[in-house]
Amino acid sequence: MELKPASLPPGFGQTRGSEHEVWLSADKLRVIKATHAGEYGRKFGPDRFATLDEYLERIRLLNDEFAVGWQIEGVCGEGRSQRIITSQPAYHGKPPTLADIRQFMLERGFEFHGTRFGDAWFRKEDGVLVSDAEPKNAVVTANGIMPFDFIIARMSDGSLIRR
Amino acid sequence: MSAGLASIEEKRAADRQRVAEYLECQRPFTDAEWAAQLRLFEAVGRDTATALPFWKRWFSRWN
Repeated sequence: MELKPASLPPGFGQTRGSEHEVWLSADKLRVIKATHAGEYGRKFGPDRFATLDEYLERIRLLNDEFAVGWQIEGVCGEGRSQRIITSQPAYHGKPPTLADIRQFMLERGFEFHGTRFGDAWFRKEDGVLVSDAEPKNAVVTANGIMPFDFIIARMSDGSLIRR
Repeated sequence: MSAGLASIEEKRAADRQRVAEYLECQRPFTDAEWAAQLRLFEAVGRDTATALPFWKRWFSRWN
């Protein structure tokens, strides 16, 4: 996938998370996210840092699975300075409880697994694995839970979730 | 398509619908609302192992 060049939109640096710098768009309807320089977020498993391809796949899968409206805006910088700029709808709400998240995942056919790499949700029918399903990564809105920052990937087998 | 996969696809369609309904009624954040929401999420994020300063993230990458 070819990424178009982008500059950092105004507002960069408001809030630093574990994977992204995050801020509100000028129209205050979307959240802009920039990966940390030279990083492409996290992934589940022994090698905890995702590659660019894995990050782009995560965006595609999170949209396919939960329709969260995560869009790629472009790429800023090169090499160790490179950041991927994305945006999502700015969801009004509060963090869900772990019980809320559990219910949300169970309703969608996922099974919980406590693993050596941390907690994960796996759905064997299509091999989708979700991790980092924590209150800080979802919003409870008037229209239900929006899991805006869960880590998601497809696994060819279930080896990573075995204890 | 198996019954399991059909059920999954139904859930995906329902999620697309509820997000679309959210976006139809979405209104912009005020500065005060955004600041309050950030505080809420920073408070829950602080308790997690992934909320590390940059030097710890780099250290964990190479160790």
